[in-house]
Formats: sequence, C-alpha cells, structure tokens
Amino acid sequence: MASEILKRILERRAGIHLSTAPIVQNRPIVEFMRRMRITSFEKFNTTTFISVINFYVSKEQANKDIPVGTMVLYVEVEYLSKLLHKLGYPVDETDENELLDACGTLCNLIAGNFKSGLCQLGYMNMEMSHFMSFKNEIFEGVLYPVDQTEKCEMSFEIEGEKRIMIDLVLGNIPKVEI
Amino acid sequence: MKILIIDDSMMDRRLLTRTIEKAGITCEIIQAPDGQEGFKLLNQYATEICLILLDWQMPIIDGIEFMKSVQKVPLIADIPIVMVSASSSEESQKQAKMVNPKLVAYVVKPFKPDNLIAIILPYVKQV
Repeated sequence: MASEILKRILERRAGIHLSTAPIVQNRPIVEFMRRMRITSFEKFNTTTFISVINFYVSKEQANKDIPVGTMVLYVEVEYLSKLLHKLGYPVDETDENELLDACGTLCNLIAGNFKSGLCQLGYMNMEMSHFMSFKNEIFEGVLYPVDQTEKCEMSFEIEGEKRIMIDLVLGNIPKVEI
Repeated sequence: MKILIIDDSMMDRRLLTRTIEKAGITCEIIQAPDGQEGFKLLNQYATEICLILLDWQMPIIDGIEFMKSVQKVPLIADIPIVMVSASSSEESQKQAKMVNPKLVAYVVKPFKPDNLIAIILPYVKQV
C-alpha cells in the first residue's frame, strides 16, 4: 500500500510516472542496541536525503518511544529538488536545511496517507511522530518495532533511474473492533 | 488583518503562504513551527487574526492540543480554524471535529490550491 500511495502522490500532484512498477522485497534489519541501522550507501551511489517517521499505537507509547511502525524515505539529492518543484514546493536547492525539511515534508505526506489507508482497512488510527531528516546516514540508528527482524524495502524508478526508496517496518497493529 | 499558519514543516508553511499570496489575498501572514509558538502568536495578535491554518502532527504541542487550548480562552475560541493535515482518514477528521466542533474545514495534504482558497476566502474577505 505504501508504494501505491507514493505512486499516487507522484502522479496526481506532480504528474510524475514511474518507469517501472515499484520493486518490493523483504530485507533483514541490521540493528545495534535495539536501533535500526540506516544508511543510504547500500541504496544509492550519490548523496541522499533520508527522513524517518515512527508510528505508535497510542500517545503513551509515543511518550515511551515504543513504535509499532517505522517508515524511512530515501531520495537521491539530484532528484529531490526537481521532485519538490513538481510537487509545488518552493525550495531553494542550495539550502541544505530546506532540502532536509522538504524531504521530511514528503515523508510526512506519505506516512500520513499510509496511516489513513490502514484505517480504511480496519486498523486503528495510529499516532505519528514528527519527521526527522538526515543526509546519507543516521549514525545512531532509529527506533523501530524491535520484535520485527525484517523490513519491506521499496524501490521507485523514475526516468529510467532509481530515485526514491522507502523502508517500512510494521509490528502488530491492532484492528478496530466493530 | 492576519492569517496565522501553524505547521512544523517550513516547506508547508511556505507553500501555504505562496498559495494565499498567489490568490491575491492581502492579509499579513504570520507563522509558527508548533502549537506552543502558535498559541503565543495567537495571544499576541488575538484581535487581528482572521483565520488559522493548522497542521496536526507537530512537536511540543500538536494541532489537537492546540485546538483544546484555544477553546478554553473565550477571546480566541471563535477564530476560524482550518486543519491542514497529511492524515486523510475519516477517523482523524472525526477526531478533529470532536475536539473542535467549530472547525471550519479539514484539508488533506497534498492539497489542491483552488480547493484551499475556496475554503478560506469567506473568512478573509470579511475583513
């Protein structure tokens, strides 16, 4: 569903069409001290902006930093400013802080719509964290649902090149009882 | 008169500002990166703010907590609020309306500029 949501945002808001269907595969999570290792070097050969959002089953769990889901967005820097302009965001591509913020904004868009999509499938309405953005890697790793050993890695090709990737880790999200 | 934009994303604040300015709306736009700063600005300019554009997911004080705080203060409780959020679920919209029954509208990101302007125009035209 996350791949469909990004595809929809790209097509409807930016007029961008994927070159091929998204590639989706499961990969083992590399963790250290109960934090998921995040690096773009295994995904892209160029500078990459990364944004992370966590999902929680409640505000209490959010306050305790116990996520039930983690979404990580990777966007290759050369494509990021072009994508943002197409989405209508007025970004100064020479300003790294703006690019970091814009990457986080995009991650927020995807995560928010993904969360809503899960609700439509009968899952509970989760809490979301504020986005955090980085360049190339996150040295300290990120929180993730520690009962999970695999992440879903999605790869999006635009204009014949891999430009965007998403890692998604989901734990047990309760369904809403009717 | 002023429009108050409360959103933790600099890009979203800029996009909202640009959308409003492109529509020819001449209200001054003031911005806050979270609900706490938004509340300070709201108290400071209470009688001059004609509309609030409010994000939901924000650090420190989020959109829901902001609305709860606003309703406790009669002077500012009636200022129109439009929630602009990435969460499109019915549950989220219901929750926002439950917290603030006077919520003018709930706009889902990414928003269409024409839709947003149509929603806010009545509240800025009055001034």
